[in-house]
Amino acid sequence: MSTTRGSAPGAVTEDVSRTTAGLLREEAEQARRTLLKRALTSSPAYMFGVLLVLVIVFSILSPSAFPTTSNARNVVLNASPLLVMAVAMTYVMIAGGFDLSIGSVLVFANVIAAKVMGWMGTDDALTVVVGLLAALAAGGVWGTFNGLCITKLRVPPLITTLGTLGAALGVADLISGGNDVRTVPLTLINLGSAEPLGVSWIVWVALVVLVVGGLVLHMTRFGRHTYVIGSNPEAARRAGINVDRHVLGLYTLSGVAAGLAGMLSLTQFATTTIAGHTTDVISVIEGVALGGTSMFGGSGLMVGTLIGIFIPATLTNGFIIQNVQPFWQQVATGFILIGAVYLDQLKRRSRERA
Amino acid sequence: MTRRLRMGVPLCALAVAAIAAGCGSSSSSSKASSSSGASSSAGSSGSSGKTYHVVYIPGLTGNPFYSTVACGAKSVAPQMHVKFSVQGAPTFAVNAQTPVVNAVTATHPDAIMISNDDPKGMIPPLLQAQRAGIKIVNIDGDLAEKSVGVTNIQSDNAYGGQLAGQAMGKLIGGKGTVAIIDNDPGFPISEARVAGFMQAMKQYPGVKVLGVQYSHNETSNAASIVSSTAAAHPDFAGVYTVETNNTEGAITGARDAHVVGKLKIVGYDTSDPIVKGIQDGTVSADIVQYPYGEGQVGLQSAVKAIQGQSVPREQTQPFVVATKANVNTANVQRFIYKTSC
Amino acid sequence: MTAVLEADSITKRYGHVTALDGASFTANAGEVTALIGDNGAGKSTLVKILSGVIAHDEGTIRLDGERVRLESPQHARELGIETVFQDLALAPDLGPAENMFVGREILRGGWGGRLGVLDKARMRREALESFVSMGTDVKDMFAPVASLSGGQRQSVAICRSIKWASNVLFLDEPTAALGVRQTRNVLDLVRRVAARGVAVILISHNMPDVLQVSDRIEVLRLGRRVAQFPGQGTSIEQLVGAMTGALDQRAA
Repeated sequence: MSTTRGSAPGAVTEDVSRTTAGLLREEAEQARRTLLKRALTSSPAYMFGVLLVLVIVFSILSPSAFPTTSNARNVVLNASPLLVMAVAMTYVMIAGGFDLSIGSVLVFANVIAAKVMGWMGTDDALTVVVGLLAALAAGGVWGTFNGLCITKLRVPPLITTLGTLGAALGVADLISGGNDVRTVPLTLINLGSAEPLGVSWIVWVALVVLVVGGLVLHMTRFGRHTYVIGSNPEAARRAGINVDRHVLGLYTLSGVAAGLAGMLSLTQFATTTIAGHTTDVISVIEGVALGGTSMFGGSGLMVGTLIGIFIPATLTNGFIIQNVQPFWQQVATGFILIGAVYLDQLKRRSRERA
Repeated sequence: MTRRLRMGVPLCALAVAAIAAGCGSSSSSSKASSSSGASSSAGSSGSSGKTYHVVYIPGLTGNPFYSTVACGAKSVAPQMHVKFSVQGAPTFAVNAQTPVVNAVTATHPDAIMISNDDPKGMIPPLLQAQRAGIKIVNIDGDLAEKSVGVTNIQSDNAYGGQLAGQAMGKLIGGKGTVAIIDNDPGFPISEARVAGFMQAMKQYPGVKVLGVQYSHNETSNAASIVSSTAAAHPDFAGVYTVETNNTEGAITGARDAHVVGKLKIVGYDTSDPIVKGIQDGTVSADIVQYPYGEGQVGLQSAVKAIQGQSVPREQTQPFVVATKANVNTANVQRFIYKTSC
Repeated sequence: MTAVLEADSITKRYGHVTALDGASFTANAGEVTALIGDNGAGKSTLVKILSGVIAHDEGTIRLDGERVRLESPQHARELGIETVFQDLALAPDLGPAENMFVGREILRGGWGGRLGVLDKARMRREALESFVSMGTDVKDMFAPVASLSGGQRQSVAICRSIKWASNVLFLDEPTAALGVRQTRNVLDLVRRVAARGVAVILISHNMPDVLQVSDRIEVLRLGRRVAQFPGQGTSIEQLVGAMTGALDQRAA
C-alpha cells in the first residue's frame, strides 16, 4: 500500500533487503531478550522484590501468625475492593488522568445498592443481581459525569474529581439521611461468607477484574490507545483516535469499578460504610504509583498495580501482628512510595539523556 | 552509581520498615518483661501465674477517649498478669477496623477488647476471632449480635445527651438559637447523643434548634461553623458539640466571632484544651464519660472471661457534668481523660 | 512529471487579515518540492489547508487531476496525504513500532481480532521492515521513542507517514533541531521517500538543505506564489531575493 507508484533505485533496495532478512531473524531473539531484560529492570520487578522481602521478614518475625493461610486470606479479602478500583485507576493514570472521587462514588453506589435492595423487599438471587446492577449504574453515572466535565467542559481532572469527591458523598448522605443502611438481604450476606475453592467470592470477583483489566490493557487496541493518549494526546488526536470519547470511557470505567467495589464492600460488611472510604483514593493511587505507573501518564503495567496494592496491605497486617504502632505503617509506606516515584523519575531522566 | 542508587531507594525504604518492625517487637517484649516483673504484686486473679495476652482495638487511633480506655486498662494490667497492647486504625470505619481485627486475631491473643466501629459490620471478623477461642470484650460500642462478646461496657449516650440538653436549656434561659455540631453522619453513638439532646430540648419550646451540622472531625470546620452561625443568627445562644474536636473548634470559633461568654458551649468528651476552656468559662458545661474506668473494668472482665468466670453481658459506667464550678474538684478530675500513661 | 497535488488560487482570510491571497502550488510524483517563504508568507496556512486541518475560502485543489475538497485531516489521510509536523506527534513512552501503527493498529484474525486483540509481532515485523528498507538506523523496536536520538525520532515519524502516504507527504522543518550527521541521514531518507514515487513537500528555512535535496522549489510571499526554481543551478541569493521581494519573478 505504501508503494503504489514507481520503484526505488535498485542498489538501495538490494542492499537493504539483505539486511532486512538478517535483522528480522534477529528480531524474534531480540524480542525475547529485551522483554526479559525489560521485565527484570521494571518498577514492578523492584516492587515485587520489596513485597517479597516484606513477606519473608514478617514470616521470620512471627512464624506462627503471619505466614498462615487464614491471615493471607484476610489480607487479600480486605484489599479486594481497593484492587478493583486500582485496576480502573491504572487505566485513568496511564491516560494521564486522576480520579479522586472513587471513594465517594463507592459510598454512593454502596448506599444506592442497599436502598434499591431494601425497596425491593425481596431476598433472593434476583434482588442481589438488581442491587449489583444498581451499584454499577450508580458508579457509572458519576464516572460519566466526571468524564463529561473533563472532556466537554475542559475542567481539569483534579478539580472535576475533587468536586465529585464531595458531591457524591453529599448525595449519598442526602439519600441515606447520613445513616448507614444496614438492611442487607441475607442472600448477599451468605454470598459474602461463601468461599468457593477456599476463597471468598469477593476475592474471585477482584481477581477476574484484575485479569480482564490486564489483558485488555496489554493486548488490545483499547489498551494501546490508553497509552498513546497518556503519552501524547495530540499525537493520538492526529492519528484519528477519538481522545475525548476514550477518556470519557475511562472515567466511566473508573466509576463503574468504584460501583463494583461498593457492592463488594456491602457484601463483605453487610452494611454501607459511609464514613470508611475517605482515604481509599489515597491507598489506590499509592498502590498504582508503587506499581510503577507513571504519574505523568503513558506508562504502567497491571501487574505493578497488583503488587503496589499489596505492599501497604502487607505492611499494615505485618505491623499489627508485630504489634508495631500503626503510625509506622504510614511512615514506611510513605517512604516506599517516594522511593518508587523517584525510581520512575530516575528512569525518565536517564532515558532522556540517552 | 546509578545502579547503586536505583537499588538503594527501595532498600532504604525497606530499612525504615524493618527498623519499625524491630522497634515494635522489642518494645512489646520489654512490655511483657516489665509486666512479669510486676508479678510479685499479683492481684486476686493471677493465681495461675500465667501471663495473658490482651489487645485493645480502639474505634480509631489518636482519640483521647480511647487513649484513656487504654490507660485505664494498662493501669491494672501488671497486677493481673496481662501483657497488654493497643492496635487500631486511623479512621473510624468498619472497613478500616476489620483488617486490624483480622491481623490481631492472627496473633492469637487470649482476649480482644474492642470499641466497635459498627454494630453489624464488625460481627464477622469478631465471630472469626471468637471461634478461634479469643474472648471478646466490647467497650463503648456493642454489636447487634449479643452472642459475640462476653460483655459490653459503655455509658448511656442518650442519657448523656439528655444531660447536655438540660444543661443547655438552663444556661440559655430557654430561648435563642442553638446549633449542633457532630463529626459525620451515620454513627449510632453520636446519634444517640444528639437524640438525647433533642429530647431534653423539647422542654424548651422557646429554643430554636438548627439542624445538625457536620465537621468531619475537623477542628477548623467546627470553628467556622460556629463563627458563621454567629454571623447569621443574632440570637445564637448555644452550641452543642458532640465530640472532642468540635468542642475545641467551637472554642476557637467563639473567640473568632467575639461571642465568648455570650455563646454557651456545651460539649461532650474532654481534652486538655476543653478542660482549660471549662476553667476559664469559655466552655459552660461538658459531659465527661469515664473511659478510664471502662478500660479497667474491660480488662478485668477479659481476664475473668479467660479464666472461665461469668461476666455480666451489660455493664455501664457513670458520667459527670463538668462546669467551671466543679471542674477542679477531685470527683470531676477523676473522670478527666488521660491521653498519656 | 505528473502533478499529483495542484492548488490553484487558494485564498484564506482570518477577519481582515488575508493569510493566502490566491496562492498556487504544484507537487509532482517522485519529486521533492521545497516550499519556502519568509515568516508570515503563508506557508503553514497553505500546508494546513492542503493537509485538511483548515478549510480554504476560495480556489481549487486537485489530487491526481481530480478536484477534491479536504474535509478533515482524516479525510486527507484517506486520500493518501500525510503530514509530519515539526512536533512529530510521537508518543514518547511507546516504541517505534507502536508509534508507527498508532490509530491504525493491526488486529489478530478471528475472535481475537473482533475483541480488539493486537497482532504485536506482525506490527513489530512490518515496522522493522519499513525502518530497514528506508535505510534508517532505527533497530530496537522496544526502546521508547523518548530514548532515541532526534534524527531517529524524525525517521520514525517520516517512516510512519510514508507507510500510509500513497500520494503526498508534507515535511514541516524536518531538520530544524538536528546536528550535521543526523540532518544528512534525514535528507537521505527524504530522497528515498521520493524515489518511491511519493510527492514530497519540504517546508524549511534552511536554504542549503533545500538546495541539496529538492527537485523544485516554490517560493511564497505575502500569500502568493512568487517564484518557481529548479533545485539544481539555483543559488541561495536567488531564493532569498524571491522570498524578500528584491527579485520579482512572477509565476507563469
